[in-house]
Parts: sequence; structure tokens; C-alpha cells
Amino acid sequence: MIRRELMAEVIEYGLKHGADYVEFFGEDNIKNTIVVENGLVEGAITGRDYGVGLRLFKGTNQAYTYTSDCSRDNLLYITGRAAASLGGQEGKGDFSLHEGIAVNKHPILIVPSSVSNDRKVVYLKRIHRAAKEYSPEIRHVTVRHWEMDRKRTIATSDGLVRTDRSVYTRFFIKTVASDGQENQTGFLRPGGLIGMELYRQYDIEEYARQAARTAVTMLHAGSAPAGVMPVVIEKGSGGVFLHEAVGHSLESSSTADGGAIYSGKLKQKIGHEKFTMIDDGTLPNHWGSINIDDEGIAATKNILVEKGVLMNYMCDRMGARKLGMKPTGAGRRESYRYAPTARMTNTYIAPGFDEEADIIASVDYGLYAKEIGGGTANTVTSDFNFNVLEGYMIRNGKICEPVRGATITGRAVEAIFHIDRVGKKLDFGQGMCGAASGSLPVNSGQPMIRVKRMTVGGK
Amino acid sequence: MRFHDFKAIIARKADEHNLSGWELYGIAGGNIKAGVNKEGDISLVENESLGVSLRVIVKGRSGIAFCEKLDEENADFLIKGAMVNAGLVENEGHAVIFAGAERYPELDNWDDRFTQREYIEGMAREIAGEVKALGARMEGIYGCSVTGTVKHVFFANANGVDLNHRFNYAYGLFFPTVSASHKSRETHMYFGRTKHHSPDIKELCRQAVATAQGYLQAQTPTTGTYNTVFRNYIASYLLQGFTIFFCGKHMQNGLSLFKDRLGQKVAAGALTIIDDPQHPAGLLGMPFDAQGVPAYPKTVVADGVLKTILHDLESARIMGGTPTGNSQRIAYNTEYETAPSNIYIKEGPYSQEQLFSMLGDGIYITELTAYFHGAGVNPVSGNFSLPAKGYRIKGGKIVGALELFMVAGNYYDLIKNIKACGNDLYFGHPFMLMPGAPAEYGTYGSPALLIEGVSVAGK
Repeated sequence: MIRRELMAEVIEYGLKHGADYVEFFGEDNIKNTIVVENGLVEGAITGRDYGVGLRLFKGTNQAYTYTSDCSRDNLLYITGRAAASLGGQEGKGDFSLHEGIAVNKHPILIVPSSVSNDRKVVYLKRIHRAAKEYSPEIRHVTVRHWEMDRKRTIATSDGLVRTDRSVYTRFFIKTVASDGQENQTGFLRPGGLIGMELYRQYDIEEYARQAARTAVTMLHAGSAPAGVMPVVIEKGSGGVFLHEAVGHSLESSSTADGGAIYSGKLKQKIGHEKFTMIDDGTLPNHWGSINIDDEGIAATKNILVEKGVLMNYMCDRMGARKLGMKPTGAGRRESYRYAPTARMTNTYIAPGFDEEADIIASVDYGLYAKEIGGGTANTVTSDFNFNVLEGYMIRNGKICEPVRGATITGRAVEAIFHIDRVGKKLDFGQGMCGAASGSLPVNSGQPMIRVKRMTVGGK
Repeated sequence: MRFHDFKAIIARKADEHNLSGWELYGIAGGNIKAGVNKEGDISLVENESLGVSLRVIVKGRSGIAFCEKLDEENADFLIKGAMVNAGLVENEGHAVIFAGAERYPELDNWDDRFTQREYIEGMAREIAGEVKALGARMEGIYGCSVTGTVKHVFFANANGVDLNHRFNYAYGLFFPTVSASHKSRETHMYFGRTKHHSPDIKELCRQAVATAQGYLQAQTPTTGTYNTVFRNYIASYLLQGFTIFFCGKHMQNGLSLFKDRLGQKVAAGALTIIDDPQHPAGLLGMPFDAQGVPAYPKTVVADGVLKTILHDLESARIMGGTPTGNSQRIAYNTEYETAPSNIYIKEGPYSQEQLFSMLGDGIYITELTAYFHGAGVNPVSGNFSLPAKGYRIKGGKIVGALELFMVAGNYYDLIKNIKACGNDLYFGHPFMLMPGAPAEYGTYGSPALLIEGVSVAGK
């Protein structure tokens, strides 16, 4: 991508003009999207993003700059401006770059760019057909293929040089069921750090039928109730609960400045003893996985909470600097246009020992959240919420009528003490997480759990 | 290489490939973003970038490719990629290249101050100082930031349309946090600044800190149905949720229930909605849209009656309407959508005191989260379920703060229950400026709204 000599020159320039750490991030990223709507290819967009991001530290202050003009003159110019914003004091430029090769733990069997778009369309149309044929009430189906081939080069004044190639593949299914008076939707979006073998790994027609079934079920569902009640959250996409309730509050971008709800609480009990939470970027070919993060540090398996006790944070370099801890391979960014911050990868609640049938049977009156959408979090107060795409009432220990239109809210400092049932089988749901360093692939997982009281925002 | 020169290369290569329909769209620009932490330290992000996309039309079907380097090699990449994508499309072929217009609006929305680092930093320091003086601090994963943004949009097509427009703006987002008795509460405040519109930052800080301080004593309301007043910039988030109902592309896919409702009453008589690319407080002032069509103000809803559907060239053709200059793209590398520019609910005559008096007993909603499509809002069904904070109103007076509740309903019903509009139009935080948020293009404004019959989930 960028000549090593140029990277070294830019880093040296930054060190000599005010920084005590300089990080060079180069990215060459090719994306491809194909959209099938109502059985026909409706659109296709292909493109290449190419640029450099430069981050400079001076103590715990940082400056960030990026550009798509990767000429030597421009890179030195913007480095100088960034260094000047840190005070611009003359420093030493002593360092040397040592190239290392990260182990690829995520083999790609079929790189998407090596497969014709016509072949991809065949898969999309199979998905479309299965969803559309599920019911005459399915009025609209959108299926989208998305692929990204991301090449990164990272060089730092610590002497590190790393390159990495990450290939992502994902498909989205959106179904709309309608009775002419109202519309309801179903939505599934599996993906991975994987190639086109994704389409063979899943039973794509069954996924399509699931998305259609959700839309049709919700079309005939009543409104979710409003109030405080026990909630059983299904495994898989239910992991959004964990992501929003706790995950963001354990990123060093939140905790390092001392203002987040879990700041300064390492080794303290923050949840029920059945609650163990892990962030693991090493899981093979999972959607949130990485070989190295966007600061050049290898991914790790990070036990964040163990039996209710807070053990660690997810730390990027700046967070580690502020906290006096080690970076955990959590520094991530959407693209060179963002400075990296500590972010999640594959985050999950560890399996427990409760049977799923017993978890459902334990609820006299409550909500079963079968499929979860997105949500948000407040890391200062620990307020969180997530949207239920498909829900059912539980009455007298049995799953009953479907309900729609609920967002669930709570405060994590209470909610994770209320997780009193944890199932045995773990599954993940794939999503995109938006925060200060952009939109990222993240995998959120859990077994089925029961949270004995949460606020359900229905009607 | 400059856009003008790259355009010439594209035109030549299009001729070589016998391409009669092509459209080149480019955005050059940059940001200066000053972030302030609770210690008052400034971190700076400065950047610049340039990207272009090419849309080609073959037999009425369009394909798109994009890149960031302007040279001969990437011109070939664009031509080849866009042609391959156009060849993949199977729809009925309604894509067209704009023939051109005799006249375009004249807009002067450039202010040199927004390009000056000192000015942007100065605003950030002013906010930080003001919040600190009021006894609060900055927290949250987005912290406090002020951003100055520059955009230079270029457009050229095979019919000889050749346009460019330069504009800029600044905006700030901050999260004052207050603490007492081991409890912390925060609020968020956003402002947008254009050449012609400068909100009073000191007053915004005062309001925000006072709101957060009120939350320290907040209780949870009883579940039920309430009459409400939504604060102006919070009401703008509601508008961001349901504007998609008026968009042609959404309608043509059967995803809006307003498809056949032009000229009919779809909302309360108190509701008038205007889309105005020239509004002085709107950040996104452009004389042409992403397809080169002139962009003028238009009334979307007048006294509850649907007057205008927002169209691009294709949706107008398919639905038998007139293009309204509403083809938008969030960036050069995103898909085309039909979306507003600066859209707002027209002010009414009522002060806040008058609205509270009309409300009598109810809830004043001052905070909403999860207002993104895919989190608390379903843009197809119109269902929403949003965590909220606010104040209880009794006899027209504020009597206490409220938190940990949700407001839920359906936007198709909500817009029929808007009974009165305040006289305090405010453009709130547009989601497209929030990193990673699923968002449509546009800035959105609203006065305070009196809305009856809102479902509240509390205790």
C-alpha cells in the first residue's frame, strides 16, 4: 500500500514535532453490494475506499487526521498540523520499524471478488423465492448481498508494522407482510469474517422462511403490554441485551476518564453469580472476529466479568495509557476516517446450566423476546434499551400469543443482578454497532436467559 | 487530479464504451472536530477527503461504482464496475439522466469561520467553560464536541449538466452530567450553526444543565395513556422517524401506507411539514440534488393534507409524479435514496406556557433515546417504542421530573393526534451526523408539539 520508508518518514516527523507516539493507518477497501427486490436485481454498487489515518499522542491528549491524498507532501503537511495541535514541541525521532506477520486464524475458502455477481444473484434469488412463497401476505422481500475485502497496513512509533487482509460476507433478508391496512416486518442478517462459503454454511431457504414467518406473525400480533415484568431473552440475537446493557460500559473509551458506571470497579461484584461475560476476537470466522485490531495488536479472548465480578475492560491504546493497563486488542475503527477506540468484537454471556424449557416454565406472566433488533446504551447511568422484533407473552409458564412493538429498557446496574437463569446453548446474532469510531461488525451472543424484571414499552 | 479533469477522462472513456447515459458525482470536503473531556483538554480531528461515484445507465438500468483516487486507472475501474453493475440489474428500466434545467436556486451558505481551527476550538471551550460554571461536567461516549464541516459537491452528466456548490456549517453535541448523593444524570444538547443562524450557546448550556439537574429527583410514572408535550428538538426526532412515509422510493416499494393518499388528509390539521433546501437554519442547503435536479422549497403536508411526495427522477417516472429535487446520498459511496433536505414542522402560535396550559395534566417529554430506525423505530410498520425522560405537568405547571419510562405507539396514529404546535422551531441532531447510526439523509426541525393519547410504560 504505502512504502515503508514513507511511513517511517511520517512517523519520525510526528515525533520530532510534538508527539510521543505516532500511529500510521493505511487502508485499501473494496466493497460490493447487490440488491434483489421482489425477485429482480434492483441495484448494484461497487467501490474502493483508499486513505490514511494518522494518530498522534502527547500524554493523554491525542490528535487525529485523515486524508485520501496519500502523497508524501500532503502526509507530512497534515502530520505537522496534527502535531502542532498537541503543542508542537520539538522531540526525538528515535525509533525503527520491525515488520511482523500476524497469524491468520480466519481462513477464507472462497473470496467473494473471485465469484461472478451472477452466481451471487442465484443465492439471493433462492432466498427471495423461499421468503415470498412462505405466505401470500408477504408483499415485499428485499435481499441484499454485501462483501468487503479490507487491506490494512499499520505502523507505529513503537516499531510495529503489521499488515492484514480481512474478508467479510453478509446477506440481509427483509420481509414485509401486509393486509392492506398495515405493514409488519421480519429481518435477519447473518454474516461472518468469511467468504462465499457463508451461503453454504447456512440453510439459506430456512433463514428466508424465518424472516417471512416473523413478518406474518407480527402482522397478526397484538400490541405488547406496557409495564415491569420478567423477560426471557432467546439465545442468539438476544445478545444485543448484553451488548447494550453492559458491553459499551466496559470499553475503555467510556471507563478511562472515570465517568462511566463501571469506572474504578475492577474486582467488584457487578452482577448475578450466574453472569459471566466474555469478549473474544479470536473465534474462527465469526462476524466480530479479527486477527489484529486497528492499532496492530493481536485479538484476545478477554474475560470481562466472571461469576458476577468485574475482571477487565476492553482497552485500546489510549485507554490503556490512561488506566495503566495493557491494550487488549480492542482498538477498532470503521475506516481510516475514524480514530480507533475500544470496541467489542464477539461478546457473549457464557453458557450456564439451566434448561430452556425450565426457564420458560419459571415465568407466570412475562415477555419472551424471541428476536431482537437494535438498541442504545448510556455508559454514565447504565440506562440501556433494545428493540424486540418478535415477541410472545408467557402465561403460566407457557409461550402464548405473539405481541409486537416493544422496546425493553432498564438500568444495567440492576438488570445484571436480575439475570437468574442462564441456559446451556450459546448462539450469536450479527449486527453493526455505531459509536465514536464508526460502524463496525459485532457479534453479540448469549444462551437463553431470564431477567426477572425489566420495563417493557408496549401499549 | 481535479474533478473537472477527471470528468473529461470519464467522458472520453464513456464514448469509447458507447455509453450515452452517465452521471459523475463527487464530494470534496473535510472536518475540524474539537472534542473536550471533563478536564477541559481538547482533542482535535482534522481531515479532508475526496470521493467520486459514477452512475451509468444502460437500457434504463443503472449501475454504480465509486472510488477515492482520481486517475486514469480508477476511471477505468469506475467505468467497468458501473457497467458490470448496470448489466446485472433486471428491473423495468426507469433510470434516466437529467436533461438539465434553465435555472437553479442561488444559495450563499459559506462562512469562513467554520474552516478555522481556532473558531471551532473556541466554541468547544465556550461550551465546556459554561457547563463547568453551571456545576456540571462532560461525560458520555460522544463527550462534548464541536465540528466544522466543509463540502464541495460536484455534478456532471452526459447531457452537459455541470454543477458545483460549496457550503459549510458547524454543529455541536454535548452531554452535561450532574451528580448528587452518588447519583449521576445527564442530558444531551445539540446545536447547528450556519452562516445565517447562530443559536445562543450560553442559553442552550443553561437549559441543558437545568434539565439534567431536574433528573436527579426523577421518579418513574405509572403506566398509562397520557397527553404530552414534546420539547422542540425531541419532537424533531419524531419527524426523523416518520418522514420516510412521504418518500417516493419507499412508496413505490409498497412500504408506505401513504402511497395512494396524495391530496388526502393523513394527519391532524395542526400539522404542516415543509422541505426547504434554503432554510437558514438547515445545515444541508444545496441548489441541486444528487441527480442534478434543482432543489426548491415545497410543502409536503399542509394542515394535515398530503400535498407533495418527495421524488427522485426514477420514483417520479414510476409513480407518474414530478421530480422534486429529493434524490440524496449521505456520501459519495452510499446508495441513492429519496429523502428530504432540511425538513421541518411549521411553527404554530403557542408559547411553552400556553402549550402547558392547554395540556393541563400530562407529561413534558424532554429526552428520547433509541430513535434510530432499527432500534426503537420501525420505518415500515411505523411502530415506535422509545425510552424517555421528562417532567410531570399538573394544572399546566411542571411539578416533578420523570425517568425510566417509555413512550410507544405508531407514527401513523401519532401524526393524527398532534393538537397544537409551539412557536419555537428548532432543528435537532440529524442522525446522519452520528457515527454508525442507521440514518436517512436530511436535517429535521420541529417546534414543541402537543400530542394526545401517548402510551407510556413505567411502573
